[in-house]
Amino acid sequence: MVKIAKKKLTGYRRANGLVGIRNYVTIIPVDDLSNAAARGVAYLIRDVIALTHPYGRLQFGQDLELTFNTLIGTGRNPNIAGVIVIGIEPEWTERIVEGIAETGKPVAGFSIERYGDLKTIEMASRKALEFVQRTSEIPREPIDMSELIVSAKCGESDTTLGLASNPAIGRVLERMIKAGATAIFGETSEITGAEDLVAKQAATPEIADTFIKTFQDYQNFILSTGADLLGSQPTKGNIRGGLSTIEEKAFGNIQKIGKNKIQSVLKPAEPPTCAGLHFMDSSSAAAEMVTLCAAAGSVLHFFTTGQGNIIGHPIIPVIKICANPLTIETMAEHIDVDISDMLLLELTLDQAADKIMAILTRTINGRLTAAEALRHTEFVLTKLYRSA
Amino acid sequence: MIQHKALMHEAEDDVAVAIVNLSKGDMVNVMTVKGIKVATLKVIENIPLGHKFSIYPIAREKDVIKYGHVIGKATKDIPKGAHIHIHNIKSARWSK
Repeated sequence: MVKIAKKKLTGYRRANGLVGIRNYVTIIPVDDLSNAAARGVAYLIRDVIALTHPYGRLQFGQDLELTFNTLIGTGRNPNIAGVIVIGIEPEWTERIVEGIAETGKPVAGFSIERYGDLKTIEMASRKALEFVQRTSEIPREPIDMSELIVSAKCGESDTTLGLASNPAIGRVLERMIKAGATAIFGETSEITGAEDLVAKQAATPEIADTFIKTFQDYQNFILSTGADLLGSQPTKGNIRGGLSTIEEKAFGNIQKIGKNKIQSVLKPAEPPTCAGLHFMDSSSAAAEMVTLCAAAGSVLHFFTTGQGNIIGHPIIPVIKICANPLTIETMAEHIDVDISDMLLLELTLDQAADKIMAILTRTINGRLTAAEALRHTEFVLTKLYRSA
Repeated sequence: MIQHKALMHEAEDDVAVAIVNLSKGDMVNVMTVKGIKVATLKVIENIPLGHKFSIYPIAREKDVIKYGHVIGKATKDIPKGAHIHIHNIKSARWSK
């Protein structure tokens, strides 16, 4: 779309060529034990974000790999200019440092054993000071829509998503992808009932097969636990908002992919390797899914909500789109784009998409989203099974 | 033109979504999201904003259609204009 291409977008082009729209220094704790030191550094040095989390000890197999991929992937995200990694021992700390260092961005690791928290905090803070000062001098430069990776997910959904918000995001993603951008969607459990429609949008039969296999593997996993998702999907919030079944929720959910073709099926936290739309095997829980998208390189997330999910992320702006007039009235501070006039048929799909694109441009260029301003910094690792 | 108070995805759907809180006995204009008027009918229960009601009577065990697709099955006979939710439809998935 010519209209998009003409808007001036600015961001930060990193050493590996990837483009970010925020410019953060972060502390990544390798494990739960290192959260205290990470917070210590973030307290001492301005503009440093501690990405604290509860895991990283005695995980194994795929679950351990996913934690590594999520922590390394988050550190590699182009919204981050420099990273300090702090772990209890040096070996896993170094593995994360090396994974991030491939991007060419400044990264340094510290381990707590043989130093203790206080000496570690001092050493890491001196490095963080250096990184923050260096980062503060990086200027914004012109970027192109085609250089962006974004993601989309809905939450605390209700019937207004299928009627308005998700079709509007679908239209936005059609426009962005036409302009060369990359986008990620997912929520494996929440596709249930609409999986055949998603498979039809796969770019090739092979991608459709991979998608269906990924979907079926998750259904089999649910069965293997001896439980079902009937009490969890739809959620109690969804039901309060009028959604009655998982199929109804799924048909609403998938409106947000628009008419885009699916170019690949990604593992959790796996970065896309080409432009266009990608499906990521992921949880439907908001913070887990957004965290996985950010670890895969998404620099901005579109979040449609009906009943009022308030999620944010520490390093990527989350734009909230809502069409439910009750939620907009009662939770206005959480909503970035009000498209409730779509329900009155006074705002067309394209006009709603225009409204979202206008906020998108301003957000890319530095405007704080509601979630950013309200300090919503949910960083939640997906845990596949219990630790050893 | 009388303002619509409920929307449908497809003209062949069995259900409409209230876009305002509806009271029992309200006469409601129903339109599709594309702006085509489908029906005017009386709702026979209060329907909260965002909740669904039936456009036609739906017999027990029948599929319930929204988005032009099956979203579940009726668990009881549902009269026209009735609130449709977890008390009278259920998912066809994950059932043992």
